[in-house]
Amino acid sequence: MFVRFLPVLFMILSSASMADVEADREAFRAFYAKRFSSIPVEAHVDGVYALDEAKRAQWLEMEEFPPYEFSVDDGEALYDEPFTDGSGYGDCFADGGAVKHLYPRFEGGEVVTMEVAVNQCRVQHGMESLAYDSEEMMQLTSYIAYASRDQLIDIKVPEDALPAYERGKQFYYSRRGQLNFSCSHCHMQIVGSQLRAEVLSASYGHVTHWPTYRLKWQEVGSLHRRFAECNGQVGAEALPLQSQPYRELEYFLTAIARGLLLNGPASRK
Amino acid sequence: MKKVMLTILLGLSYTVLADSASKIDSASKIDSASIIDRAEKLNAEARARHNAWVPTQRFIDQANSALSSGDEEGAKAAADKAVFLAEASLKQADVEQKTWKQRQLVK
Ligand code: HEC
Repeated sequence: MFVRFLPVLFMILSSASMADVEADREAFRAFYAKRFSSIPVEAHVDGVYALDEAKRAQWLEMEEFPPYEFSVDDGEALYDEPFTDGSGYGDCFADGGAVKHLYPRFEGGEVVTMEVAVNQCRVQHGMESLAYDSEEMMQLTSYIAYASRDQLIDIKVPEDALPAYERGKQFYYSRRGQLNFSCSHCHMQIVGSQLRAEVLSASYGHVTHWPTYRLKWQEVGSLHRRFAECNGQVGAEALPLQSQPYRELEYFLTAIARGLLLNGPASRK
Repeated sequence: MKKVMLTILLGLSYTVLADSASKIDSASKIDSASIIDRAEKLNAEARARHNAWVPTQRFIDQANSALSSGDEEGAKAAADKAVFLAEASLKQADVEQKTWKQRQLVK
């Protein structure tokens, strides 16, 4: 009798976990829509500049001569340069590199971010992989981000990717470091409030604009570099760029941002 | 004969005493080095769980440089702090394994 219902039970359980991603996305949207009822929830793609008028004015001034422009141009030249076997990035990525809205993907049992995909493409075609913090990697991803502007994030979380998604989510909500803070403490619980000279931005929209030129860095840097800095701020040891936990964290944050507009590269303070 | 016995006895007790004295001496050396060792092992465990704290390594480094400059007490003090922090970071990882769920947004 019970055995007859097992398949049904299994279907209910697995469809429940499939729906979780969508439920998480809706919960994030609802949370920030309620917390900042005077701005559309999509406006958070501009981070802190969606929340603070004075900072926004300064930022728009900075964007008049976008400090990431050279990086995009150099990236385009690199993108078009053929590999030694005569192929190129165009053999790996469609639409002139306007593919960022499809990343990270879940492939071969792991989360493949844009940076990892760039290196996979190179290695497939007999080239050496690039260091994740190299100027060349930042230029290439700047160009890809630029080519992908105005696309809507469209990643899927297939059934076999749910454990990776869940680990990313756990990372987001877990307290770390001697200060004992989770990402959610700063970017959710006390979002919008001031921390030293900075205003805390919403996590919804945190993934749309990378890589980003930061005045503090004096160069274009990656999302994982920012993760590392946020870890460091609470006294937690940073993890390597593109390490599995950071990729899974990015996967979680991108999945809940499905439908948001890509607006990279961007500039930040 | 008596004199010989006394000499042997004295000699024996001297070696025993000297031996235990040197044991105490090396015990305190092993002590600070082994606290550092323990701190390093615990911190490696925290790191493997992606949950190491920045100051832990700082105190380990401090303990090592105190030890190499012969400052036994300084080495112990720093190593003790490192052990304390490494244990706390592992405790945090254990606790968070469950409690993160309570923070989760639900619609
Ligand atoms: C102690 C508070 C604190 C914690 C904890 C924290 N951050 Fe941040 N984060 C900041 C501050 C301050 C900034 C800069 C201002 C802003 O944009 O919010 C920032 C910025 C960011 C940005 C860049 C936003 C943008 O628009 O460019 C991202 C992405 C980010 N944090 C992700 C995370 C993630 C993921 C975690 C957890 C691993 C985390 N943060 C934990 C304080 C924190």
